[in-house]
Amino acid sequence: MMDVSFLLSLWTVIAFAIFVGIVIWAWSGSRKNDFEKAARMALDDEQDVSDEAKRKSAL
Amino acid sequence: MNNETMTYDYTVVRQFAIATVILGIVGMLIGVLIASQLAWPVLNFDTPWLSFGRLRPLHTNAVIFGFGGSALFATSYYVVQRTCHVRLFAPQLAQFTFIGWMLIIASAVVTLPLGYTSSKEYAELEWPIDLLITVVWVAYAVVFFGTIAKRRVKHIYVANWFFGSFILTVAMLHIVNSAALPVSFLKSYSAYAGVQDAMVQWWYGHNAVGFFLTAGFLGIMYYFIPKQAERPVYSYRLSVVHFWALAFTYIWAGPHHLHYTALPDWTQSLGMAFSLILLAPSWGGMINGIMTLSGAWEKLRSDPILKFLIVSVSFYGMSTFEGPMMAIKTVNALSHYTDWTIGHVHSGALGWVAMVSIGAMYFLIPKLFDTKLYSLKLVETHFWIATIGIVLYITSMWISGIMQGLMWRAINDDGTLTYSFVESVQAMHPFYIVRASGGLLFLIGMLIMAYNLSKTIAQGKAVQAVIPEPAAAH
Repeated sequence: MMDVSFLLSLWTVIAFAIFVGIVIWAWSGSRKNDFEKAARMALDDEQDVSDEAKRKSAL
Repeated sequence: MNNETMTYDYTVVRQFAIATVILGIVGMLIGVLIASQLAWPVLNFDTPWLSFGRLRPLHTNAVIFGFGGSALFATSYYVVQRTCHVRLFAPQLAQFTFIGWMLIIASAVVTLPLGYTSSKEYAELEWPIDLLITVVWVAYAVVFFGTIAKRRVKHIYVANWFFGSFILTVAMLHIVNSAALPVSFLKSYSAYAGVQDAMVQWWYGHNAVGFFLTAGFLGIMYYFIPKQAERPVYSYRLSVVHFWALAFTYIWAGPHHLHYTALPDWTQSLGMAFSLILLAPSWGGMINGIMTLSGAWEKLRSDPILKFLIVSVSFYGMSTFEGPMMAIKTVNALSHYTDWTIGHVHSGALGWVAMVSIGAMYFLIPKLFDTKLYSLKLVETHFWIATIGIVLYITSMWISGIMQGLMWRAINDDGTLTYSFVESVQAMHPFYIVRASGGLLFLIGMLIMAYNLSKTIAQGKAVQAVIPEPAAAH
């Protein structure tokens, strides 16, 4: 019963369960605020950059 | 803190960004040459090392690994620093990845025209070069994940998840598919035989598309579209779900390259089923990229960089719809071995991969040199020339491919073939000329870009930007 193809089938079922878990986790209400903050991460990387603070360097 | 820890390391980003533009031109120039060879065979010049068979892998290696690879190195090193608010881990090792990657491209330029090839598509380079790729790739992983490990923000941004999965998966694919028995310095035999060899090759080949040419470039999309549109990601939870959906399904889709071959029938059907499922996560990414513009649609009218980025995601949606359709066995019976496949690949390669990289370079290079773009008007010109080029390329290959497929399967009442093979070759000729001119237009666009960006670099200066405090600290 515990041959390789059984283990592979088991892994497929586990992988699917993990994926369903990820979907439920992503849609859970508690993630909402964190995700809203995370969605702005690319935009929030510009703070405190002033021209005089940049320094020259060789290529 | 000293200056070293207060600034981002842009040196290696600059090197890879410039390499992206140069290798893009080299790879696409070879592409235009081999497209012209198909239209006018005299251009093979009766010279083995200038013949189509040897230059075609050089074209694919130069555009995928030279152009696309450099764009991925440049953007991932830039994005991982900026979204982790920390300087690159092991900058010397990052420097080594640049030198090593350029050596790999240079050795492809030498060995492929000389005819040294493992004959595995997109993995043609012989075993000593494969070893160098492995060493460089491990160094890349150390730099990238080392930077993630020392990040100053808690959350790992979605773009870094895509870059990270691209680095890990390509490492696994490369090591498994390149396993070979060397018999001399530049000759080896695959570790696998027969249909297993074919299946390993297309497990590699399709996931090179899935993780090198998709996941990595989705990482680019998730940083540069919000940046250029000045809008947050449309749905962050969708980005999480479609990331994992891509990771769980892409790896199974390879068998669709081997429909109606010696591969067991159930494996072909499995590959077809997973290719169809792939439509969902692919379109999840496309919807998320395009909808990030909601509330800022008017920018699309005036901003040519945003045009590049958004049109690239549209082509991503088109080619990831076309792909699953072509993976259906009955459709594949018509499309396989025809120019339709070439058209499909280029709608992904020119429309998605190249357009998103071009958009990212127009954003990135002025930042790296602390200046503004030399000319937005030239970006607009580039956009339209490139778009017309792609449309000519794809439509000519659709017509030519479907025509080929129909001519090959046409049968007379008495069971004989209606057309000889050479009749189908003759019918393809005008479309090969249209394809070559479409490619030429795309190349001209790249030359305009090179001019515009070199002027931009000349008016700027190389800077290492100061690392701002993470948003959470305020």
